[in-house]
Amino acid sequence: MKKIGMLLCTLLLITGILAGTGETVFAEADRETTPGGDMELNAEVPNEHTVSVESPEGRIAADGVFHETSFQAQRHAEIVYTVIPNPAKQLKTLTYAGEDVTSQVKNGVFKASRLVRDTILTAVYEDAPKAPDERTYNLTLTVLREDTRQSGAMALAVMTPLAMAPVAMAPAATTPVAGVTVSIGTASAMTDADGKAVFEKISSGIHQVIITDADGKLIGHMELTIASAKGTEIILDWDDNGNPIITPAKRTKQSALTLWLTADGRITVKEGGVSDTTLWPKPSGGPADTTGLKTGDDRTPALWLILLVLSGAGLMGTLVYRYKHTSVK
Amino acid sequence: MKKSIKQRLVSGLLCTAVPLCIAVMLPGGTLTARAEEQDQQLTTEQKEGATQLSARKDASYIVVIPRQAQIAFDNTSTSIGSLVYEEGNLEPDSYVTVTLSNQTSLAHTIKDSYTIPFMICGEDKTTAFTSVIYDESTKTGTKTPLTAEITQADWEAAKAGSYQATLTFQISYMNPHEGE
Repeated sequence: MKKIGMLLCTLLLITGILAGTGETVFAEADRETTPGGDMELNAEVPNEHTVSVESPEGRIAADGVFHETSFQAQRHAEIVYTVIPNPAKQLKTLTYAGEDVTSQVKNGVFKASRLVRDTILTAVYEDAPKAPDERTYNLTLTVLREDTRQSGAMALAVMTPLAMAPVAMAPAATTPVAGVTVSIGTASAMTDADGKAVFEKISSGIHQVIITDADGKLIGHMELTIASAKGTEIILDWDDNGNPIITPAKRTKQSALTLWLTADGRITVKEGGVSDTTLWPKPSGGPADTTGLKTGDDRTPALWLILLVLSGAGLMGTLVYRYKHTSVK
Repeated sequence: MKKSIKQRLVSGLLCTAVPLCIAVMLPGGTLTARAEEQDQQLTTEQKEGATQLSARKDASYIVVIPRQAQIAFDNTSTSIGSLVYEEGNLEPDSYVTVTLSNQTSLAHTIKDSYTIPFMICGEDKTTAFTSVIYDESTKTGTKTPLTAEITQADWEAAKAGSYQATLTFQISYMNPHEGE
């Protein structure tokens, strides 16, 4: 019996040793004995990313909304940035996610590729060329929008037979853009029911023209250049980016522009979209004023006063003449 | 007198067997250490020639596999931890192989058709990790770092959301002298 007991004890001993020396794998957290193990990998891709805006001498709008410091945008969003320099400034470089994208900026607009991570947009500005002269102008802007339902509809610019000056005529497919704020540099005015906004003393030089809606959202932008005055006719031309360059006549004091607002946030000025509305008579040999004096025109009271005095003098002369002849008889 | 020696021997064996049986119930790591001590006692008894006992101690090892790791967004190379050869007592010429036997896609948890391609690499971060071998010369505490490599383009293409993948490691012990 004792021998059997001894053998059993020996077997137990050997079993104990073998049981403790098998292949043993422990996972890290709560240890388990397994012949292998699974490891879980997790990754999180964010829904939104932060875009930081650095634009100390100008404003930047992302999809029409101005941002001063940073904003959140959906991942994979394709954002259109509009860079608007402060007055007397112009864009020097634009850096997006560390890459110089200045060459991709057209008319102040930069279309970024899909947003895939937090990004910094940095605009650096420089002084814009100084105004070519010290003249200022009164501008009347008319903002129109093409009715996209009637594609191909264009604004017509016709020459009136009498005045021989271009007058923009809105075809049926256009709509005046009322109740929006038009800004030229630091000046701004709201359009009336006809889409008109009046500005005074706009200097020559390069101006950023922007249109914002009632919520302050950017809906249109262009760069307007008023060149040094010369000649007898106001001239409209365009730069390589399609921005208008107006060269006023030497006598020009005020002018009217028709601005076309496009769905993609551009403002354009079409052929015939600018006219000289200065009231002074043109030098001999030149065409007549765009808008002559009309009944009820109160913009030149001195002229009307002179006419009144002359008329009164003529009337008085006639009365005196009649009185003298009657007295002789 | 002979009986007395036998009685002493039996009681000695019983005293040895009882703690060893208790040790079987304890976690493996602890058990391995105690078993080694008992081997020596048995050898002593063998010299007296009273009873012939033989005990064989198998190789033992502990390999630690990380259970979970988070891949940081937009990182092209993320450390996901290390395989650790924590303890080892291998026979000559034998070795332990840890193999990455299966790897699922890093798939979106809601829409599993959205995936982020990735590669598990070793320390060099360029060659895909397939397996690692620990042999008798491997020092305990040896670490095999693992990294998850995801290209910039793949991160950029990834849809928003949570992604998950599972790596399966298999461990095998190979003794060329087994059965000899």
